[in-house]
Amino acid sequence: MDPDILLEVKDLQTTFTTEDGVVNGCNGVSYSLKKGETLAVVGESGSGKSVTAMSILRLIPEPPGQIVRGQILFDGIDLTTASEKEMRKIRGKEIAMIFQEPMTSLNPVITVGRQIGESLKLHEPQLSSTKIKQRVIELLDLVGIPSAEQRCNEFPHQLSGGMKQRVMIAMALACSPRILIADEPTSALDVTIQAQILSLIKKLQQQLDMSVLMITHDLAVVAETADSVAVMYSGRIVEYGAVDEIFHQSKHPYLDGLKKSMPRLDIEQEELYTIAGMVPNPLDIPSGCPFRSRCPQEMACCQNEPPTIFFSDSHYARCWLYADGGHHD
Amino acid sequence: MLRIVFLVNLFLLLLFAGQITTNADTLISYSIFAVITLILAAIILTLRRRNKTKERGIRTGWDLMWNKLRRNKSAMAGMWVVCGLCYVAILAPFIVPFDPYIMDWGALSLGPESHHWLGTDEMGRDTLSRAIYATRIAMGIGLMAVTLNSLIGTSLGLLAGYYGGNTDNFIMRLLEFWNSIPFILMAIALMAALGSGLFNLILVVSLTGILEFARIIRGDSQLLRQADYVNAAKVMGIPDRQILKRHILPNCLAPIIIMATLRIGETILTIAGLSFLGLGIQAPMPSLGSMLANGQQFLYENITMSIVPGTVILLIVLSFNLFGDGLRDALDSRITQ
Amino acid sequence: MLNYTIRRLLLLIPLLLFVSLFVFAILKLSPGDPATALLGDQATEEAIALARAKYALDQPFYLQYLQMMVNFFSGELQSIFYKGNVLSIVLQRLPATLELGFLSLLIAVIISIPVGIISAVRRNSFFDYASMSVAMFGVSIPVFFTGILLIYLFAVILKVLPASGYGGHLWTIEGLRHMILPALSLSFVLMASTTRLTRSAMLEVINQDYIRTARAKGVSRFVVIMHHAFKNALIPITTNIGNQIARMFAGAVLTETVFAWPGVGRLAVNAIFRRDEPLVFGCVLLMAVVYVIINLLVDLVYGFLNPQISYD
Repeated sequence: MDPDILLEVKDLQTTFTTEDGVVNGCNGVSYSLKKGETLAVVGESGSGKSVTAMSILRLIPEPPGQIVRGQILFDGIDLTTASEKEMRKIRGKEIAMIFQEPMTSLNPVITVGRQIGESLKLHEPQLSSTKIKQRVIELLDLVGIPSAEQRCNEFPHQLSGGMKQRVMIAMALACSPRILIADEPTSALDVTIQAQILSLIKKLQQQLDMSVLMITHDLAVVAETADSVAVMYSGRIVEYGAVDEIFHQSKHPYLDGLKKSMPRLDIEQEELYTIAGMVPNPLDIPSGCPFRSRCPQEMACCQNEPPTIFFSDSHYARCWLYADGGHHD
Repeated sequence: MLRIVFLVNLFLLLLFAGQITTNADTLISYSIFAVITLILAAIILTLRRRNKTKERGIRTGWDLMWNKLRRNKSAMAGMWVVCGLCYVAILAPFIVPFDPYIMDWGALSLGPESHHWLGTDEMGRDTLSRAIYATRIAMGIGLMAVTLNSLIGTSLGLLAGYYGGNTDNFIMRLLEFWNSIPFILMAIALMAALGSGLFNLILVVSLTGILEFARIIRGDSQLLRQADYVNAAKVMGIPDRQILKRHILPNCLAPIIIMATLRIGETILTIAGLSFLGLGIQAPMPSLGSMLANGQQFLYENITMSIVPGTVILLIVLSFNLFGDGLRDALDSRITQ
Repeated sequence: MLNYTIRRLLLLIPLLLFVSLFVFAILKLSPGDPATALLGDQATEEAIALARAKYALDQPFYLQYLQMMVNFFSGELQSIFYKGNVLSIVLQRLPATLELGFLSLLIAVIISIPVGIISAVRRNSFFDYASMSVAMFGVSIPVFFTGILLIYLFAVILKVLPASGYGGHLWTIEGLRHMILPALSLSFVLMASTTRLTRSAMLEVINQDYIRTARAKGVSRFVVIMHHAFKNALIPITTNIGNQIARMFAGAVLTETVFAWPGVGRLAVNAIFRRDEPLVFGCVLLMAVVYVIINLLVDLVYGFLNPQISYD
């Protein structure tokens, strides 16, 4: 194993049992996160990107959710089989997470300061309560919240959305984790605040030497933050590569579609491009390539499981288009 | 299932046809019973026609609700027990083994035995017959009170929510004041003043649930008032009355039905409580509450006298509550208590 | 907070004026004449006139009301049937009712909240089904039936607890022995509804995003449930207890009747039967005061639990 690799997800499959049948949250997902690197996982809602992230921290509700296959290796431990007690030591301390909805992700009846201090109290029990208080104020300062001392004693409903997300970040960073999982950290925020939060995450990543797993549906966020990118569709990774490769040498028709549907300022556009059709019903995923019904380049062989084609060491796509040589463009 | 009920109904109708006497009580029961059978027949016919449209795959909200309700076993059990109790109530004059008012001095305060299945009270009246008649009275008053109470509550809530402003303030403050006195005190004061007649009882009991109805319906109609289709109707110059009737009321139906179902059980409990205190239904009319009060006096000698009416109240209220809870879950409503 | 409390206490005055006026008006509506009720059908015209004058029954409506209020609070309003003034009779009965109510509230809260939490955490387990069935019975069973069954079980069959009556204050052993059965039967209603509500509130809270946040911090399941979830669930639970207080009052009147408990509720019922208007007035007014104060306390607790409520 590459010593630089901090976290490795191998062939992960997570299922949910619903009244109407078993749903694959993610199916055969593999990726690895290097030290200090930012890996972005891109996909539409329902593509399984959040499920993968929640599986890493084992936060999927069980039941109905269940990790049925695969490994998640962190520090030599397989997180899929780790005990709840081991997981508790990793959550918040080694791997921290910030969530999509800052509005509802903070407990409304506990003060901001106590919510941040809680992980310190848990993972660094030797700290005294005055030390914790001091550290909480430092953290609030770090994430750019003015008059931190006073904000400590406030309740979440007294803060704006952007402030809440900053608090969430402070909470996640409290114990200087090695990995930060950011699950759509900006999608619930105003555009101007989005940029602030993203640059804050970027700045703190360098400052604290963290690896970041950035989960997003927004290619602009990817371009701004990521080193490598995994594109997910219907629970699988359809293309994986360094950020340049993804943006300039994209292979999979789905990724092409995504890129084309981004609004651009430099070209006069009458109408935005849209990918025709709908995401397949997770209860009834078609055989072969899940994207084929929407794919402009659909072929007969797409009914079979697509092969994984490597274009460079780090860049691969799962598509029949490149089955006969692997080079294109 | 409905067809079986219909056939049973028809069978009972023919069976009891011979028993009609000049007694006004039995005559009324018989005619209600006949009407119910006719309604059942009508429902079966319309359902059969709707089945045809269903084949085209159109599923309305009510179909979805019914499917969800049907899967809820306890709610279905509650529903069937409620139906059964309705039958018992309507058919009471036909099915009682004894006249509930006749005293048999040869059979005082008996326990369960072959002749009087559930025993007799201290005056030799058959407990089972009295319980059946008491159920009839309790259900009758309960239904009447809840009808009254939902009508008043819904209208006040609709007005308050739709017009807002001063109307809203006035109605809601009035109801809040009303609610600041616990019901039992109100009932005690009213019963002390008006005396304890059947009509007064219905009045007192139906006044209590108004606030609850009004509050929920007000919230709903406040939301609906801002709906686009209501605005569209207003722009078209449709009068308020018509908007309330056509657009707002139908959308409030689900909570009204749920609350009314849950309310019936509660109302029957309240009536039984007042009767237990001696403020409700008066002797010699049989009532579950006063039967229990009577039974308590003979607790050491004859426990059946307490057990029977108590269990009947429990059964009635429980089945209404189970059914109401099931309805609430099926309609996914936000009323939680 | 203090300002709010004072304002709420001041608001009590118009409320109680309304209640007293209302009760007074209702009593005046009644067809019977208390003077006749007191003296019986055979009383002479003169005797009745004298009694009417004594109880100020010949005055106009508003004067009668004013007089009654003044007399009530100064302790000069005499009960028609009992000896003594209404205020002291009612105040003398009040502790028994309050003790009974307090004990049953305590029993209900101590049992229902843990049971509700466990039911929510172990959703669809045997424990959940069992406790929810019992709670469903609990909300459907009449208080007086529970009371009678308890008397039959513990006093008639097992003969371990007294069947009825008041044995002294809550803190004496004899008093507690007498209070267990009535308090249990009164607590049943509140217990059942609070258990159901605790369960549904916890289930709702457990699915919230902030619970996931707490787990992502590495907080243990127990702390998540007791600290993060329960603190939020307490808000609807408190609201429910507040809503149930009115029902507790009705239950208290019934329980006092079943257990021959010398409290205000039974006094009020007796006063109605004896057409003792001043006493009915006093009982209702004082119970309304207690009710309003309890509601104020519940509101204060609610505000304390919910930081989103501000008292400005």
